[in-house]
Amino acid sequence: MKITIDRSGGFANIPLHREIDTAALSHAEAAEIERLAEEARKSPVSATPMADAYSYVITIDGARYEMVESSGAWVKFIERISGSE
Amino acid sequence: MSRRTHAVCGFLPPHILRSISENSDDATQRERAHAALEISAQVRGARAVAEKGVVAAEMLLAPPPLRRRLYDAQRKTVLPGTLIRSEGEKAGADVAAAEAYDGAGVTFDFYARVYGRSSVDGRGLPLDASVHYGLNYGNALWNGRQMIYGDGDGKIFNRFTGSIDIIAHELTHGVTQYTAALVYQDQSGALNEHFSDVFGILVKQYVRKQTAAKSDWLIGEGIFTSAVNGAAVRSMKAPGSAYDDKVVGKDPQPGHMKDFKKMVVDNGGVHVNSGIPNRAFYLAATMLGGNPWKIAGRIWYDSLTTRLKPRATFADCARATAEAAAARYGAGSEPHRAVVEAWKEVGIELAATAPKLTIAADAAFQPPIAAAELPLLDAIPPRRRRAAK
Repeated sequence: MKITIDRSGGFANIPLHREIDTAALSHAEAAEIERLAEEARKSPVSATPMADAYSYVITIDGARYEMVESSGAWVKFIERISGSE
Repeated sequence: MSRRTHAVCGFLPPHILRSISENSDDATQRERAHAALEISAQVRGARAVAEKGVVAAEMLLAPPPLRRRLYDAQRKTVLPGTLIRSEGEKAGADVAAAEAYDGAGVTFDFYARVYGRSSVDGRGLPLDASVHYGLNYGNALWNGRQMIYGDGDGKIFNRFTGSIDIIAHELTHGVTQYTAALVYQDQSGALNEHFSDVFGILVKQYVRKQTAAKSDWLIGEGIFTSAVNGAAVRSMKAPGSAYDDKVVGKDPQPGHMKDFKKMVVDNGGVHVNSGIPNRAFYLAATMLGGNPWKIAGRIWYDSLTTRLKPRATFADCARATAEAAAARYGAGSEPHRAVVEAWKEVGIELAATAPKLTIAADAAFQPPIAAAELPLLDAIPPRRRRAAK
């Protein structure tokens, strides 16, 4: 599974970019991230603008998701990917 | 100053309002009911006093009380979280909660004393904030009804309550929402950011009793950890110079229209191009000297609250501030000329669009009595306060 996350905005406006191909990860790690991604894709997204909120553009195997902040299963997914270098 | 006398109260009896204010599922409804209760209580009080033949002016003019509610989101993203402190309760051991509580109080006090504004909506809206939002969340935001503060990740960011101008910045997003309602995209979005930085820095200067010359003009000072090469998140004095770090990158803010950045991300660069009006404010405040909240701040406050429309551009803001300066201090007055000159220095020429000056220029400039110097309820001698109640 190929994943990209691009974050912009926020009070400090420090951009974040992550690219992950789970094929390059250990079996356990790949399984964990793919499970979080599948959960996230089922979760609704909000695009309502809010001052100083993060804006995300996320792709999962080419499917594109845009959202303001994150909610539902997107929270854990983004935290997991953002935390990886 | 008669905003507190709106007759929005006589409709529902207090016991029903009280029930709504305590039990409604809708937070807005609860707030409105609460506000209506307070107003009706004030009016009833005023009526009783008037019947005794005592002038009740102070009572009706008194700002509504500050009402803060602090919540702990416990590192989750469910809002608001657990209520941990209400107005008047003593601080617990939680540093972020204490900072958020105190910062909201200082900002409320600033708006009330300097500009006569009661809370973000002008009608005493309770100030709610959640601390410890999310996991390593390196951000603070205003979500349309409350403030939200993250703890930072400890690597790049410290906690976001540590900087008073961040708290004032977030609350000012609320003020903007209830006034000019600047659309959070492109130039109007950058103006939305600009006004939050302006009143963010003004609150910091107010707390420190600083002049324009003494201020560092830094936004979010100390929010980066010591591992990051950066003094702050933005510099209003020298946009683009706040940080330059191998991990975080370089401060991208321009300080002149010739460097305006057209971009898609960050809602069209709202945190980037705000450097241009930010520098114009810095220049105007510096030309005028003294405490920036008194004249420059008053001009920007007038513009935000009465002269700007949701889709305003930088040029509209330049025109609005120049007109606000002319309206309050006189056309051709020192503040009016400083504002025009400040915008010119960042690449926005007002000469062609400026209104015809009909009042003699160079009228001896006298700073008006600032609202801050007018007597406040606190300053009214105790005997009179008792009489008013």
